[in-house]
Amino acid sequence: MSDAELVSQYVKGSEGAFAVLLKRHKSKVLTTIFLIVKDRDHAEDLLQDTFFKVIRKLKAGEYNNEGKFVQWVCRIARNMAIDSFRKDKRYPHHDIDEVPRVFNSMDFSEESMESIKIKDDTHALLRRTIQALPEVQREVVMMRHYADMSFQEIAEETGVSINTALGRMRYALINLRKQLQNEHNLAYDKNNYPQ
Amino acid sequence: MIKTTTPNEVILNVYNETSEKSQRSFHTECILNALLSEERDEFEDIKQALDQLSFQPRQKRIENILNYSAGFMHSH
Repeated sequence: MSDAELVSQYVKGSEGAFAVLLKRHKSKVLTTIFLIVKDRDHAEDLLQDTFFKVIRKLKAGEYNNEGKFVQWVCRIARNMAIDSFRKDKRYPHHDIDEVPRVFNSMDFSEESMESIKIKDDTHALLRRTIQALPEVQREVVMMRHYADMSFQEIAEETGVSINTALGRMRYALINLRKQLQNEHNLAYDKNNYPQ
Repeated sequence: MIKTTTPNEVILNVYNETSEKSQRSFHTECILNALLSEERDEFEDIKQALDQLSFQPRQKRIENILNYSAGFMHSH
């Protein structure tokens, strides 16, 4: 069933329809937020606040169903995360890094602890590398990968030409590759691990 | 004669936002141009890593959201 159909059912009173929408998009929304804010608990607070706002807006008839649902939700999430990030810059709090999933017993049945650890480390590194990108490049990466937007849609949303949006993505990919390569070389530098 | 792909067209091809005809032409150019092929492969590796980046919220958060929705239903 499409998102538009689920939204329509939810507005008419189907809680089950909302549960499907949430299950379908929770990860993309959390990833969008966690690429902006620093710690995992804070990202989850914002995920919760984002969906609370989505519920209120849907129930108030403030969603017109013209665009894609996930784009709309990710836009709300992104705005909330950016507001929060700016507030944190003014009133910095202690940065608690993400809680590794190895402590989440729900995951044990599906993956081994070692594979979870490797995946968590890789994701943490990639997340830090994305966070270090210039804001306009990070924005394009988030919109294209986690909000399911085309480059044309990104250009319209950000008020630039499609060539500018494409150029930003290109530099983002080049920068990410360079940074990840540097991390990799550092990790395997023989001077760090003398034989 | 094969058309030369611009840097932005490489991105459009990597993200499959071009026509089939354009993709075929890009594929042919990659066969003939090792540098272009290498660039495409590097971009595709990063794109794949980005696609796989995903964080899952804890179950408690999901329950909170669903409870909020159910409560909202009843109170309005």
